Amino acid sequence: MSCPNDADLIRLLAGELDDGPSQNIRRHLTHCRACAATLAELQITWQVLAAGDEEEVTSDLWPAVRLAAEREAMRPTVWVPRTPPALLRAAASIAVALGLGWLAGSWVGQPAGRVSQPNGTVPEEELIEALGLDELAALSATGLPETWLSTDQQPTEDAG
Amino acid sequence: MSALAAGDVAALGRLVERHQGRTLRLARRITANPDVAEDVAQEAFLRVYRAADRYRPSARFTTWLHRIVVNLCWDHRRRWRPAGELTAAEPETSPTDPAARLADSEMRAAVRQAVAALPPRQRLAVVLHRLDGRTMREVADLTGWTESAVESCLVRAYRQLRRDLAHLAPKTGAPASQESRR
Repeated sequence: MSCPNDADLIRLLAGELDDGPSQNIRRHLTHCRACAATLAELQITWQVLAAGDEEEVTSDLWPAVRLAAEREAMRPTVWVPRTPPALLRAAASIAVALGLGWLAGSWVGQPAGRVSQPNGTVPEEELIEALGLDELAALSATGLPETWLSTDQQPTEDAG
Repeated sequence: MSALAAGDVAALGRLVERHQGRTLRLARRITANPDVAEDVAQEAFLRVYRAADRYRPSARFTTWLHRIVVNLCWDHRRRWRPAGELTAAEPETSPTDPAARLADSEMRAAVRQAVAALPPRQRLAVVLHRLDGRTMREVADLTGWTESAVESCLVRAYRQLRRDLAHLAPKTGAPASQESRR
């Protein structure tokens, strides 16, 4: 058998090894001085450590525990909602987002006083007004807006 | 436990009476601080009281209780008594000869100091393994660490303690040949 590791020696000291492995290590220790020396050192530590143990404790915990338990029993129970599972939270978020989107869409798309056509379309004049297109005049043949051409800057025939 | 689950505070009293000695001693071994140990032990029993209706006897009650104690001690590890505070000799009861008492007291202080100087994980592992008499598997069960992690912790801890406590080795006699817990 090869040399046992420290963990095996600790287990041997603590009596945690089964008979088979324990016997194997013992046989090995009879002819391996290095392992026997390591075990001897460990054994001294093992024995010395017991000297640092705490003594028996005799405190009576019951009065303090009873007081705390009774105080807890008298405290009104507060309902704390449990956190829903992640999937449920994700589904709820999507539903809320869709709902808000639908509401926003219907609010923007239906200005007050709008009269819809029977087929659901918006009258052309109303649409032009809503988009502010009525401010723009149709372009003339020169490419300039006719509103501009009709201002005072327009050259008159008698100017020349 | 069933009486306790039904809200019977007297049942808690019986549990405390039966288990307080071992619980308190375990907490004192780990923390080396009597005040913290008492806080931990009280809190452990309160947690048992609160969780009594959810307790399922899949493990022994004491295993469950001690797991709570170990967890609470670990949470309070900043309040564990450090090595520097354990140098003073503490009152002893066993040897009647003053010289023997002094030697015993000094040895105890030196051992406690060496254990307290270990990193927290190694300290907890050694206390549970050597002082509380748990097997490596039981230490793993109590701490929630893997057994190989416990083994590695213990190997490093005992190696360090071998160096730190070498001066306390008895001058006479070879080490005993039989392994034992005590």
